[in-house]
Amino acid sequence: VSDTDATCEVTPHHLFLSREDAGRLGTFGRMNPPLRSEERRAAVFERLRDGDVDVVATDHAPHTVAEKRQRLVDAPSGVPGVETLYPLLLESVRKGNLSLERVRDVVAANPASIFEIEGKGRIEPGADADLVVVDLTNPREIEAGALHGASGWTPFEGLQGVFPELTTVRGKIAYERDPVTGAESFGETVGRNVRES
Amino acid sequence: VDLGLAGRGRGRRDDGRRPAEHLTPPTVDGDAFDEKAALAADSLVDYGINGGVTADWDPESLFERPLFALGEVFLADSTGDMGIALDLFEEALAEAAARDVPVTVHAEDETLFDESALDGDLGGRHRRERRRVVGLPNRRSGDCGDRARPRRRRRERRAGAYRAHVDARGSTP
Repeated sequence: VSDTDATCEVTPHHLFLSREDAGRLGTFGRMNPPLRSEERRAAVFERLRDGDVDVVATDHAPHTVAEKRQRLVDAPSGVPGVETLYPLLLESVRKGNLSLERVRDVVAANPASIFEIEGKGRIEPGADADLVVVDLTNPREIEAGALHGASGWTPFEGLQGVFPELTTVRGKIAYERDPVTGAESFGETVGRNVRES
Repeated sequence: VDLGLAGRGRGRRDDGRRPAEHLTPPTVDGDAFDEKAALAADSLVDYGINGGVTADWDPESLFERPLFALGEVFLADSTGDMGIALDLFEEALAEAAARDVPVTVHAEDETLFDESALDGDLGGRHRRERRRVVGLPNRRSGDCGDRARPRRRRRERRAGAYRAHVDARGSTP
């Protein structure tokens, strides 16, 4: 693979969950590849930390509680994860397990470079001002009730995460959280297809 | 099971579609792409839309659209029955390369699915159901995979293709 243009990605669930969580999750933890041993999970995380992993991507699968709460043969594979990707990685930074530069690379710079997404992945003159402001001293517990996805559950319930305080898309505020009250507000639906920009 | 079953979405989208419908229809032709593009237009963030490859795909109409990538191509039936055969994968790679469209794959090994996946998914529980599932005729047994693997590798060598499957047993220590 190193002699080709192929790159690799790993998911948050394989970085932060292991077979030790499988009993707790039951059919909610059904995914492919399946959860592995804690030893393997730690080895994958080490490869993320050391730079062997190019991208962390969620393989987000917003299956509902009703869909996952079925017999094994009927429960669909996959878990939701798009909203907890940054918080989990940034919590690793806060705990000293990962550098901020690695997070920048695997969620922004590398994907933009690999997929040649114009204006994305870098903070520089002329690039899109897609920014996220976080407070690395202020982690919060991941709770499905505080998330916004349609699934109604998260496999990361109870873990700590560093959540965004403010997000901008091309310079416009898309999300803001009041640091005192915790009240949230959202911007306009300004999203564009990056292949049509 | 503490999964915080209280998300704001509560299993439904604002437009009334169920989340599983992100898989339906598979984005394998121009019309399906347009349908998803119309939904994505109501987005807070910038986005890309993949084109999909199944036995029913229509590359001609699909490549007329602004694809983010050809993906995620399933190399095994891990999600529904969307895994594709090697010859179709090669065809898709050639189509994508001709148009300079990147390809992403679910690099999964179908021969490891049944025993390994079910063991891992359920942490050794539900053994009775696992035996029943593995016994289903539409699931390959490990022996079947072992027999198929040398044939597949010979075809790959003849085609000059890279073997994109990842053997999870040997991929990490």
